[in-house]
Amino acid sequence: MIIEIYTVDKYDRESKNIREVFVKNFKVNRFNLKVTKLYNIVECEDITSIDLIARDILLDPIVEEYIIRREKPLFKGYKWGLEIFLKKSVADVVGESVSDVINKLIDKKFNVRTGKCFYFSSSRDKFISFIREEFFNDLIHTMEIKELDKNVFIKR
Amino acid sequence: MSLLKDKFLFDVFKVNLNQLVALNNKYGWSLNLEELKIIVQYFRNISRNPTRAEIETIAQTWSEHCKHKTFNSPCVLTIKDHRGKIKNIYRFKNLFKETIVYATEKLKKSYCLSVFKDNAGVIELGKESKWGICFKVETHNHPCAIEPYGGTETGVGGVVRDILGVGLGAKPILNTDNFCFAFPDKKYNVAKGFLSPHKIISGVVSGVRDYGNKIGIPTACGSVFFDDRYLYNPLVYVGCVGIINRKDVNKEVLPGSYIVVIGGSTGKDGVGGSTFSSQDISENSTSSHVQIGHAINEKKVIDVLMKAKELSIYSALTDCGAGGFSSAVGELASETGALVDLDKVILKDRDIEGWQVWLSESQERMVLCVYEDKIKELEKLCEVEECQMYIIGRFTNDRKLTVKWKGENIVELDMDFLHQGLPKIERKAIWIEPKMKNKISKISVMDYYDRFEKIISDLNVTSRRWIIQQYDHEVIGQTVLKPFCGVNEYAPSDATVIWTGQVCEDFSLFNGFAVACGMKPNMSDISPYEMAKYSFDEAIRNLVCVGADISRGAALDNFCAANPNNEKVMGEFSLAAIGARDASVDMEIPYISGKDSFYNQTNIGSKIYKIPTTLLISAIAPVEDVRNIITPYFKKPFNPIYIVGSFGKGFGASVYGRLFQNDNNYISPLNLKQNRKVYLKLLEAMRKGFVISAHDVSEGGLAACVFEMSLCFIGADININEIIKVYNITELEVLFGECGSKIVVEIDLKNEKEFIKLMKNFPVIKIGYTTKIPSIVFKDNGNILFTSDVNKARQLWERNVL
Amino acid sequence: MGKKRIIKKPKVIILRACGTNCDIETENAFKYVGAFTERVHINEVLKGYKNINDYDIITLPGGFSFGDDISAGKIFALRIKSLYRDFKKFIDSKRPIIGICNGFQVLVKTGLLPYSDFKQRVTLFLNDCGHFLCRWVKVKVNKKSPSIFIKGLPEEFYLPIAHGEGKLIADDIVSQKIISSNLDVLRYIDNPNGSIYNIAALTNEFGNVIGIMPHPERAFFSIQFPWKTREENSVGFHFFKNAVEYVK
Repeated sequence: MIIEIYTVDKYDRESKNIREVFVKNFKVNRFNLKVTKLYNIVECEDITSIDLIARDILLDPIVEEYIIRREKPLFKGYKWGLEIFLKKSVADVVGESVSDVINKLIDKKFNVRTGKCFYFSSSRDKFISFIREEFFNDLIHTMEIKELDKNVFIKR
Repeated sequence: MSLLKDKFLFDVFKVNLNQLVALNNKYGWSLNLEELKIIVQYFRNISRNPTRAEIETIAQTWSEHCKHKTFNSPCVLTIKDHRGKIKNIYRFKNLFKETIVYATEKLKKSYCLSVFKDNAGVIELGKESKWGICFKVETHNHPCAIEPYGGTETGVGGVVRDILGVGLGAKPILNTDNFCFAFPDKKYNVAKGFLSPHKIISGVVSGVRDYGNKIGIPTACGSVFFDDRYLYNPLVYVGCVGIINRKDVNKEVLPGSYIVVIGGSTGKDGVGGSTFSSQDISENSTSSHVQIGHAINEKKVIDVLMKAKELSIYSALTDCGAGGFSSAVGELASETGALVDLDKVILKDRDIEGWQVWLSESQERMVLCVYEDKIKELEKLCEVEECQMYIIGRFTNDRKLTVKWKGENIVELDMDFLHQGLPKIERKAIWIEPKMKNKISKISVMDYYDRFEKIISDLNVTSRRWIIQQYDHEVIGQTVLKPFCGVNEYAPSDATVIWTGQVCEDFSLFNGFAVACGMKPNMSDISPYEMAKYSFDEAIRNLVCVGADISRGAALDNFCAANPNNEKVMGEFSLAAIGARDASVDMEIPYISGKDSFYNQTNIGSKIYKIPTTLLISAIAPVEDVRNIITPYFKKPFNPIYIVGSFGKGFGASVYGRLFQNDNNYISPLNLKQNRKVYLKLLEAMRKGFVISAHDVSEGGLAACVFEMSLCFIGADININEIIKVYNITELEVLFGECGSKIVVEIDLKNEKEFIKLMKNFPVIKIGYTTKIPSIVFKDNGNILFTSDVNKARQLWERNVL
Repeated sequence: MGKKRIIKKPKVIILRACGTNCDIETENAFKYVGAFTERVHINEVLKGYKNINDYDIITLPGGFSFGDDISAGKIFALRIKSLYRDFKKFIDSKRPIIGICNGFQVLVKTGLLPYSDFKQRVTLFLNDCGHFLCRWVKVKVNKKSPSIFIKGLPEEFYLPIAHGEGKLIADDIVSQKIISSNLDVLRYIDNPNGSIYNIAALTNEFGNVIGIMPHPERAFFSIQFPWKTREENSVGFHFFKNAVEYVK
């Protein structure tokens, strides 16, 4: 299962900064973007553990909120979710760190893989090539663009 | 000795040359024909077939990266003039020994404590100091071309480990970084599968930032050079300076001690890395050569080592880099022998073969020779610090390298064969001198200001703040002269000065050292010989500007070149090596370490993209009192400004030349013996307190230099007439030329008379005065050539590139 | 303070974890002002080899503990959760705690600043510019704050910063309380990271706990400044001196 951590809009500079660079470089008019952090707790089906990991370990309660989901992105108000993870054969240093913390805190061993999700609704091709240039190296990353259901809702 | 039951790749009695070559290509060993023949002969003599692990070990140990075959080879250099007539033929039995090593051995400086034998050279930190300073610079070019972030992180990790492996362990206290990139703002048609300059630059800068900041070593002192020819072959030089107690400079491997690994686990990372860097990059370079850095693991290793050294837990150590255990254990055990059991290695991949464990280049590992009775202490230390350790064997005294995996021996090699059995091929080198033209198109004086603006906005002149502000250059609290200094940290420094009070825990002493660098790669296609001298001179000039004691200084030579099988490339390279030798001898500053990296070229289809021979000279010298260093910005109005050193004709390899006069390739040769005298005299003037500020003239010429000195709100009024008369050169060459060696100094008005007296008979010319307003004025006697408001110019100069 | 004995040489514990970088120069700063110092790994405390209450001053120095993984200071904060009682005892006994940069991040994420009830009320988040920044900044002191660390400091002075996550954020209610109780010890004159109210350092209500983003140990000796300055202007010195004098 995946824990998706995102900064509440009021404090989300990262999405704003990335959006500004995209809009400037690709001369796009309107563009909405939301960037989130993904923590894939591999082969963990226990909701209580996942919730604990999200709330007690990963979340910054002042500025962040979280969603628990599987492969399908759930954010409302966007058309696509572009997910980037490291390839399975590449070491995920942050993931290993998180796995270690989980182990020390709740005495369970999980493999953790970290990633990012970019939510957007327009200029698909331009945005994909922007992401390829700035955040992606096909030597070490995987990229998947998932279409969101029109009627999905977000809930923490 | 148990029978080797490993799968054999070929039958040593039946195999023929073509099959060997095919195997060599298939497995990427980068061995040449002679080497393959010698290997076959060795195994025929002992009547058995080699294992995969053995061939891989030999390939790694004999690779370009580990043994510098090309530089250590015999070489015949033919120099022709531009008409094709032979001018000179030089014959070298061993190019490296007869250039770099020759210079150091000739100079025989007593303050060099260790040269060319350990991971890095060591010099005294000041006269009779109980401390030594070591310095190493490495390149990590090929990995950075395909994965710039990971490649750079692991590059930094590698050079820091080199310093950790000096003597009984030096403490790393400064990181340096020098880059060569293509222009990020130019529209190149980058071939498919290759990364754009913007992407490479951003990955490299972030890599140095993240790794360097996390391991707590200040990153300062560096440079960036932009040129089209680095499009597919960026160069990333990363350096590290360490401090070590004199008594810890020697290591000793004792038979019977344990071979202990501390740091990261071992996996399939980059198996084959050092053979990879011995090949050209092609469209098929793959991802198995990408390594991921883990800065915190390295920090844990540093913390454990510093503590373990205090507790005398080990008697020798070295870093695990290219070639993994095969190189690390191979080197340490070269005089003794070793018995290794790979089953004891902590693995990160379960699906791995013995030879891969042996050759793995997993990061952040050091190999120690630990005393038998100290193992428990080390285990306790590692537990507290959360650092992994694993005992993989013992040092023996049988002069053999024996490696076991799953109960079988997969390597049984004689140390002598492994380390000495290396054949040398004679290299052919040709250099054809281009015709030099000092063409200077006259322009209206009205255009001078516009040219000045374009020069200070040129990427090879602009501020590097966009990089530097992301690097923590203050950690450890010893950085006395930072990359930017002065009011609002506006002025760019020439060198970095580090005080050693925090690590030596002595706040009553104010000594330290200065580090600076120099490179002029775009001179290589005009005159590689002068290129080397100019690079050397620039590094030393930068040290002089801060007042460092160059008479006790040392230099590092780091060459990058294209494919040495090409005679012209070899010609460029060997001439540069000769230039490097002469520079060192003339300036009486020895080399203490260096490295060379070849095959920096890319083949795309039928086109070959080569880099010019790029020599980075890094220089280091002690500073007696860091409170007395000189900084580059003007301090007081109405102080006289002088220029020290000589001007030369020509716009070859200059920014002005590239932008406005690219048919001018004229370079004035340098007289480094003379420069040395001038610099020592200037240092004397500094010690007497006459010099208030100093800055050297480099990219952008005199105009850019004076501009940079006036960034802290004190301007200048400069008259260049005297220079024109003395050197018989044009106004444009004075303002924007980069030939010769010049330092601009602000002299304390009340000491002007003494300064003139002291510098009598030296090339020193008065050029003007500092002023109260932040603007610079350039005149030729009565005629104003141009003026610039410094604040306005600063907006252009502080360009943000990323 | 009502202490019965005079402590000649206060004992300082400098708590570190893997990735802590600034411990040596922080230790040296304390040594210079006459304290007895010990650099201790948190594992030694967690395993019971050392007890924080055996010391007079606790320091959490700067660095990248645990690589800033998850977020800066988060893992360190999680690790010291089990030491809550020890920390509460230390804070209630009015002994000083100084958290510098990463140390400040740890104090805030553990819930020890600005209130020591182990509930996180504020956070230190990513700089507005989106990346690590290393430069000198001008700050001004809030003379009305109860902090014991600010005695002798000039009204405005320069300190170096080096951080990627220094933006202080809190909701309106908490922010108002911080301002009205004068818990903001230092404010940036030219805000480099977007912190609310330009806050660069926070104190607790009693004034014995301080979290500071800039690095006083890097502005301790005059030679550490980017321009020539007299020894008296080395402001970093005061933070350490005040802690030691207070304990005595």
